[in-house]
Amino acid sequence: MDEHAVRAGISAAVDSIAGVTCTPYVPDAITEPHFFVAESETTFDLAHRRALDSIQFTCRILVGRADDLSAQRILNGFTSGSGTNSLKVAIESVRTHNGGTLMSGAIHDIVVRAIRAHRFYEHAGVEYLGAELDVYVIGSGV
Amino acid sequence: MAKAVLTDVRTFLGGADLTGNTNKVQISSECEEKGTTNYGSGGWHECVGGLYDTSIDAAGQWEAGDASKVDNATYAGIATVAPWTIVPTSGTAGSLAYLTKSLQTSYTAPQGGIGDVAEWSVKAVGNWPTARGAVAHPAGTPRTTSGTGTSVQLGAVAAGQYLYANIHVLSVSGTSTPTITGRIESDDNSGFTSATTRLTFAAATAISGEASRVAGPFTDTYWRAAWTISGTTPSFLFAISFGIR
Repeated sequence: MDEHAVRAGISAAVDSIAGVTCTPYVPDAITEPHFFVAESETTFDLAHRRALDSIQFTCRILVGRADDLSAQRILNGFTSGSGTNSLKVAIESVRTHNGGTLMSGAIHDIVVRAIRAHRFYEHAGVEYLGAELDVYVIGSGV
Repeated sequence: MAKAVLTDVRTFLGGADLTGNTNKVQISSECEEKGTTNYGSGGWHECVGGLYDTSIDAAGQWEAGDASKVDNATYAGIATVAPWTIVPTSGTAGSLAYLTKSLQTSYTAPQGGIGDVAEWSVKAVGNWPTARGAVAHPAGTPRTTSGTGTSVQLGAVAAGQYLYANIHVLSVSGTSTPTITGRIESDDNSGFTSATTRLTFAAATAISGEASRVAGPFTDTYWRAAWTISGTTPSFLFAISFGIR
């Protein structure tokens, strides 16, 4: 898998949600609400002859704290399992399940396994309200 | 060959290359224990070997779509006998290979809990001996014309032994009924100056596999695969393995 292509694909999928700034990398500066693909952990050789690897991505969604209640409501919309602003729905919208690969051949499948850690995050010296996503991807190892 | 970490095991079943969908494969050869303990055994059990048996267990990631995919190949293979070739490493001509012909007794797929990668598993039991031989023609190189493979010094076939060979036709393209007929040749020298055909597979026009054997004795020690291809713009991907037992 080309990790750059996978990160770009995840970011592009979330970009379908109106009003969210998306980056496939950890940005120096945030334009909230901001979704970005952060850390990754790759497991190699799930099948022989480099046929399958998996990548576990940690992604984050950060929203502004101008108002405590409204900020949490906005965040809840992103972390819900359904709805217009659901990150899980947006990311998994690439799963066509027609037997082919996804993201223009970059991966075999993708699933948002969990969203957790609703808390304050400090980014570039500013505090935001946010959450983390566990995104699991499988694809060819070559 | 040094000790190895398994990352490159090639598994062929019939006309399917299961390598990229496999993360576990095991081939076992066993013989029955037949007791022969007698009063002269000195207080210890004695036994001799009875009938032999082969068993294969394989598993990996489930995938479906066409005859080359694991689900299509193994679902159709339940209760049928098919050739298996398992190559521990590399897969190049001359690499160590185990080959046999087995009855597929079970197929389980897709399996796994919600959120897991879909898996498959297969069990097959022996219908023929397992031969420890070599790759005669590796998969991966498309062939469009007739030709011969790399010479491999398998050794002589003694009386009572057989030369076993498997062919796995993995993909076929072309028009006017593209056909491949594989065969195994032997000679007393690596240059194959006087090759003799010892075994010929049935002509294949589609993705398929065949196991065959020929009884010895043969004094030739060098062996190679060869193939005849016909049709219009034909192209074949195939693997051939052979061994002596």
